[in-house]
Amino acid sequence: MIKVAMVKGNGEIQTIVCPSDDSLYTNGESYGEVTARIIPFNTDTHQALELWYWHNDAWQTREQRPNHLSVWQGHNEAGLPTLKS
Amino acid sequence: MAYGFKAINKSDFIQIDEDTVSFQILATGTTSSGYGQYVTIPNSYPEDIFVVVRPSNPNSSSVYVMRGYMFDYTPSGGSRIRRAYMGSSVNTTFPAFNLASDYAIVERADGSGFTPPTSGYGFNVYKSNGDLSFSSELPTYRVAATRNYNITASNSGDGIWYTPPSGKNVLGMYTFLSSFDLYRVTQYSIGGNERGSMNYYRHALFDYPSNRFGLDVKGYYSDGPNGGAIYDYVWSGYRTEMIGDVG
Repeated sequence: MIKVAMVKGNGEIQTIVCPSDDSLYTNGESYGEVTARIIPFNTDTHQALELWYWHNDAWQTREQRPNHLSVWQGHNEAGLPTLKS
Repeated sequence: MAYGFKAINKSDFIQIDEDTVSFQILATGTTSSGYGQYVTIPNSYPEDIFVVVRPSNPNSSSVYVMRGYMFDYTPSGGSRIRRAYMGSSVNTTFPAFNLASDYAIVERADGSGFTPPTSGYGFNVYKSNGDLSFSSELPTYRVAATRNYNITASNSGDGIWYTPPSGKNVLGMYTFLSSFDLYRVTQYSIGGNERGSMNYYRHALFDYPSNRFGLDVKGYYSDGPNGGAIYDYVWSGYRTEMIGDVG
């Protein structure tokens, strides 16, 4: 069994999915609006959803969302992840 | 019976036989938190899937509500977009629906797009027409209760409709993602030409402290346009609701 992060265009994870059939998703392939990135199966799902984003072909970390009303603005040019409160 | 297997109880009622078709899980997942979250359903998934949802990692001492619906649209000249919108919230007067949700994508084992697993492990059960009815290779969605409710202006379906038997918990169960969304819009006179407007929403209600499940209807008021039309529009008709277990 695999665990797959479905990544939006801005690098944020839309959802983390565990398919019953591993062949349903291929690493790096686009599925509509999102791209599949296979992650270690023992990854903490909630932590990854909150803290990880995909940039420059690698996982980066951002700060914890200050509250559930905050919207992430994406990786900025200065190289610092930004949160809008 | 020439196919599959049969299980009967002590009174000879059939519990499982070749015609018992299971709901098999194609995938499970968790959405990010935040308002307006959705799951993109890859177009490679079969047509006849459905989605079940629950609040993710809830506090068992709180009551939760969920909003959500299925979205399937192909823009002119564009690619098909299949989404399952979902969001959960602790139940308040104005829930924000910005907490994470768990979901599972489900299909009947005899669905047209379902491919019987051929791993060589476990066992598959087939119906007499050759369709798969169960595979031990995939988890299943086991329906605990269902209701089919006719929505009208005077019947919203509001209220608790499922209390599990002793020893079973609503905590952990998933509900079918039907239309937990706007179902009624009404505009009326509040005196002379002045208008008031109400929007009514249906939400799935997970009452964990009392261990029960149902439907929560919330209405939101706003001022209407001066002299505006008076109407009461209801997205009426039957809604199927389900609650069950994934695993």
